[in-house]
Amino acid sequence: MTDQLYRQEFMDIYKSGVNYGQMSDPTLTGDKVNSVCGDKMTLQLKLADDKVADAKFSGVSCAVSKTSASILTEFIKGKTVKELQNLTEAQILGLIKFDLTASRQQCALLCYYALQEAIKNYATAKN
Amino acid sequence: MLDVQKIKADFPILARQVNNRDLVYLDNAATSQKPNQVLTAVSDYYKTCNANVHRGSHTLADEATSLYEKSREIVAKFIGARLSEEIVFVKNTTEAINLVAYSYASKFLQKDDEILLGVWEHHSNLVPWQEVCVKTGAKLVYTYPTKDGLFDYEDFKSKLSKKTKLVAVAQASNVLGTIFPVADIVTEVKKVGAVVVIDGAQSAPHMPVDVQKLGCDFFAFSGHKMLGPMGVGVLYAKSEVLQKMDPFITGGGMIFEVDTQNSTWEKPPYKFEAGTPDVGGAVGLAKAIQYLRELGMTNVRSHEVELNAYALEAFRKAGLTLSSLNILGPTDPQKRTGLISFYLAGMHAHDISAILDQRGVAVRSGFHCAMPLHQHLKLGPTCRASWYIYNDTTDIDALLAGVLEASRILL
Repeated sequence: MTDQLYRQEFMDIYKSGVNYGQMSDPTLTGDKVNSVCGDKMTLQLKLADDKVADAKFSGVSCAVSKTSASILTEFIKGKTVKELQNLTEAQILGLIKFDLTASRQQCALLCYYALQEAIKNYATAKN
Repeated sequence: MLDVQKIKADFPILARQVNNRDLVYLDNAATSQKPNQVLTAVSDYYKTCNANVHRGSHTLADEATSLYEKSREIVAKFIGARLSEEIVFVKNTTEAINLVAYSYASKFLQKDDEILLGVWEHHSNLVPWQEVCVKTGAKLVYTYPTKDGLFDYEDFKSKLSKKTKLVAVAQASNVLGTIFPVADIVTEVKKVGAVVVIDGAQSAPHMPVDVQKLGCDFFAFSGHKMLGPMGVGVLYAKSEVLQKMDPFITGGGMIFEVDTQNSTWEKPPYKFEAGTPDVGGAVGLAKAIQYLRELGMTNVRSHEVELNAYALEAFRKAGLTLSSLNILGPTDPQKRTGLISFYLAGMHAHDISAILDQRGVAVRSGFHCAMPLHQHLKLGPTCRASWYIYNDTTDIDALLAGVLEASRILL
């Protein structure tokens, strides 16, 4: 499992840090802590015409969390909030394409869980 | 010296492969592996004389009771307790400390009393005291280690006062590796008349322990970290202290008499062992102790000190080319138990442990149930390698080779 996990393709995404960072004026923000290890991720989204115009993630986390967050933040660009709401765990794990143990799946899904929080916060603020 | 190859042959799990590599098991501070002798003792118990203890009037019940009580005597002797009734069988160290927190501290501590503990304590020797404070209004006071990860006598003495009613410290830290001077600590604490709880989870498996020489009121440890099965642990408490305590949990096996409205309690240790105990676990622990005694606890300790020296030097050398590599705790091998926690700046501990696992090397990563210590040191998750009687220098070599590989992959 880990053989392929830390292979070049995966590490290239990790090291490139795609979408890693913060933005000053996000429309949506969500935080999530991985209860297994205490890692924390913050996801920020900028909407334009109800679609994701930009997405950034930050926080201290492992290579699996960071790489998955890079993949997810790229994937959600251009999607509507409604489309984000319909995303499932299985879809995200499918995007990441790596065979993960149950504990590392939590790492891979950390950004997805932060996205869920962001959507929840957004809905609360709108109401 | 220990004959590591001969010892290894007693541990079937060490012959397996992990990720197509020979297993290098360096997570002994979390749990040790079990030798055939212990596995056989547990299975023989169930095959030949399994019955509920202290209750039946038949041969099997008598045999099981006799084995259970014999195990208690073996444990008492192992840690130098005066009486076998000072040994309470529990599930693990966590339960042992909770028992003290509920049955002693919650009963005797009052508002504004102080509980003094090390910031390095495992959550199992920290969270129960937080709960005692919530219940009683007592306060938690922490002592901090020196920069080298050693016991800071001055800091400790400055925190100790007439208000201190209970002091809880680990004999060996599960993160820093530091062995703390618990006999000296007890001497100081007794000047203010407080009780001392020693968390022996990381010491009892690795070095000779004599609770009478230490003079502590309570000493807690787990069977599973010292070759025994999971599910059995020990609370030692001075007889006069046990007499004063209320039961922790109630039910069968711990009562003297019960009527519809009231009950009276058995005498210690039975008063604290409600319900059917883990007899097979106690039998396994007794066998584990016998195994360790045959090796000699002084030899076990010397073996680990040698590995400490080898590992500290290996980490020092690796640090010359890998400047991001840091270790926690003292640099003197004599001042440590058999473990080293480390981190690579800029690299996540879980990635390092996953890459080590890929090479068959099992280490722990995370906060090791010691978040306050990591906060104090301003550190994120760390990796921890911990050795025991079946490890040798080739395991340390495999560890360092894996760490170098991890840094190549992750940097």
